[in-house]
Amino acid sequence: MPTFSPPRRAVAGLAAAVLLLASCASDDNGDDEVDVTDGDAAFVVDDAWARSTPAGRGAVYFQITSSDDDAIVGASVDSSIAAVVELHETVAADDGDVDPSMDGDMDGDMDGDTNGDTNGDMASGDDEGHGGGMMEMREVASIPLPAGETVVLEPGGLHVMLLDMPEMLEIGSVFDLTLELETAEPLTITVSVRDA
Amino acid sequence: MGSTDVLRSPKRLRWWAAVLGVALGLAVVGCASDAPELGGIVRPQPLAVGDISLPVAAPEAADSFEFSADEGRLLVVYFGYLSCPDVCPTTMVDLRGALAELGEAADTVDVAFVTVDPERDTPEQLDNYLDHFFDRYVALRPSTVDELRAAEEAFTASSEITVNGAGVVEVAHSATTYVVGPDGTVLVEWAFGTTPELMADDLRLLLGDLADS
Repeated sequence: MPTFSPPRRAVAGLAAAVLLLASCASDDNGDDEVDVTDGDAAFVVDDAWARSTPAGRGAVYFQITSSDDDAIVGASVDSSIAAVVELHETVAADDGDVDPSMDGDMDGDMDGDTNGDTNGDMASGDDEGHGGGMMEMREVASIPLPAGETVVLEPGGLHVMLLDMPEMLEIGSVFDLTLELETAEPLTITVSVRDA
Repeated sequence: MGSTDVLRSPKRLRWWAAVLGVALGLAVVGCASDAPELGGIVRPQPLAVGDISLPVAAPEAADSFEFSADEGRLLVVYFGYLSCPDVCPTTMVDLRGALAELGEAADTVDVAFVTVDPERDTPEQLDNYLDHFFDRYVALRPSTVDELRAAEEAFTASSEITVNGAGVVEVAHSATTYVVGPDGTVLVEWAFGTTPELMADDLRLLLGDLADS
């Protein structure tokens, strides 16, 4: 939209600044990844990691900031890592708004607002576990990426779930994860396997 | 000012002195109990779990394992399942971190993992999974739903396995970690997300209490 060009550029500038900051911070662990797609939208992806877990299932976490409104609508990895990749969220099971219809609803047109509440939960940080409170995972159709907002995928919250992993994820290894986005071109990020 | 006058009146002064006295008294009481306190959840009425037992699946199969720590030791209990990619491994790694922080004292802490998904979690898989996180562990695998429910009830844990419309098995479970003493009661509970540091502090404190008694 032409009328939005100047602010968009400003946001892109801001994202670039964040990008610079992130690259400074990356000295700590060296596994930060920054990627910029076509001139239109810029993404900053920080601290992409997966926990070393036995074969079977695993989870990938990272922080992502998009210069434009967008959403992660899917993800994929090489089949040597996992046969199936899904977007998941761990929630307190008793918060009541589990929507089974969301499962498998990955095709068709994606409404960025579908998971608006998801985003709210996430921004407020971790759900503190309550004694005896049930936690469950549910698949989410998309992870909204509001322009300029850093969306955090972390243990106990949003994560990219790896299913049918033929091998254990070895500490120190890396693999590529491709994120499908609602608007921008697919984004490939490098995930480091950690023992953390 | 009126209020100042009120403060200065002998009656008021005595009143304030009394308030101050009570406050000091409370502060002293506070100090007396200022010994380090457990960071996790402590129930006024501790859960009694010592009468409950479950079959051992790994590292070596055995008929029954009772939920009480050996003398002078602590038993950490977690209810989880293997196809849990997020919450369970996170807790296992946090617990491993706590044990690492304890150093040698970790030798007096045992770990028991109860699968809430015994149908899918085989003894071999349980062994492989726990071996990934711990040097010493016990994998408990209920042989019936009733057995699982009885154990969960004692700990006030819960789990639910459902199959969704797409045929995918989904597991919801309480993600609390329990520390059981030699008396078969739960001494402290840690909610999901408790830091390894807090766990280590609690374990150190409890081991100290055991040594004193």
